[in-house]
Amino acid sequence: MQQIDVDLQQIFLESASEVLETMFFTGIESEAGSDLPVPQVSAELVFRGVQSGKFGVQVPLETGQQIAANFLGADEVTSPQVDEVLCELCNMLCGSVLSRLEAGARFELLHPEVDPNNLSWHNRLDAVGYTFGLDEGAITLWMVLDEPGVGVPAV
Amino acid sequence: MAFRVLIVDDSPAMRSFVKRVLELSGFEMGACLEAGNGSEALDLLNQEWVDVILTDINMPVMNGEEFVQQVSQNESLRNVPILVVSTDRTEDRVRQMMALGAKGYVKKPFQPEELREKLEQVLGVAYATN
Repeated sequence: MQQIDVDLQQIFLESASEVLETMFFTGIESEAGSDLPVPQVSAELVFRGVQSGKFGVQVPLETGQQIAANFLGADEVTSPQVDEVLCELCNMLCGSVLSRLEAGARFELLHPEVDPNNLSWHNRLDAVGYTFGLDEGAITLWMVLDEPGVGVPAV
Repeated sequence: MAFRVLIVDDSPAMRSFVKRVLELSGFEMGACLEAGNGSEALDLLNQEWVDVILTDINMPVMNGEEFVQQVSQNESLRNVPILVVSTDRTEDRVRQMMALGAKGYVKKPFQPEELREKLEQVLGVAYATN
């Protein structure tokens, strides 16, 4: 698990920077933030391929609202819009992370879903997660592999 | 010339983003139609003419693979250029979609300019930006 921790932190950082700067018009402000303030919103998806597992993203509600507003070019956003944008963010981040984890490998990403319970990655068995500071707050990316450590490249 | 565009994506947020990016990029859009999956898109295409289609791959009901294949095999639709917009970055996937009939492929995340440039390519036109 430790090897995954080291590898994934850098991969998560690179992916979050790329996706957020390119399409959500915000960026990572600091590499390691603190625990997220509440209330939060979160989305997750199942991926399958040479490695299978779950990937998720969690943000404070205010951060989610700001990210959604940036993405949609709107001054105000509704709760369903925040959920939709968070799912899209989750989808893009997962694609970016997996392409870095296993370059060239094909993955199937199932449809992302909002987690109504906002379960923290801390409560997920074997999950590895990192929180990064954003211009608009903070974001946590987490991942759990069905077979932790298999095929994860060393840094 | 103002182009009629069809955006096929199961995410309303993504459809809205793509539409906004095209408008901001100076792309001359006469109309923007939207569909939530390949099946809805085919229904729309039976009633409306479009100049170009942008489609996601991973969608419910009818995914992008089947949609591109059906458009390419349809006598009245086969000349409408298709640009795939997807989070799948593998070259295998790009080759597969091009083999099915897509004319271009944009990997998410993308810069707004990249989307416009790819659209220029598949439409075979160039236009001035504001």
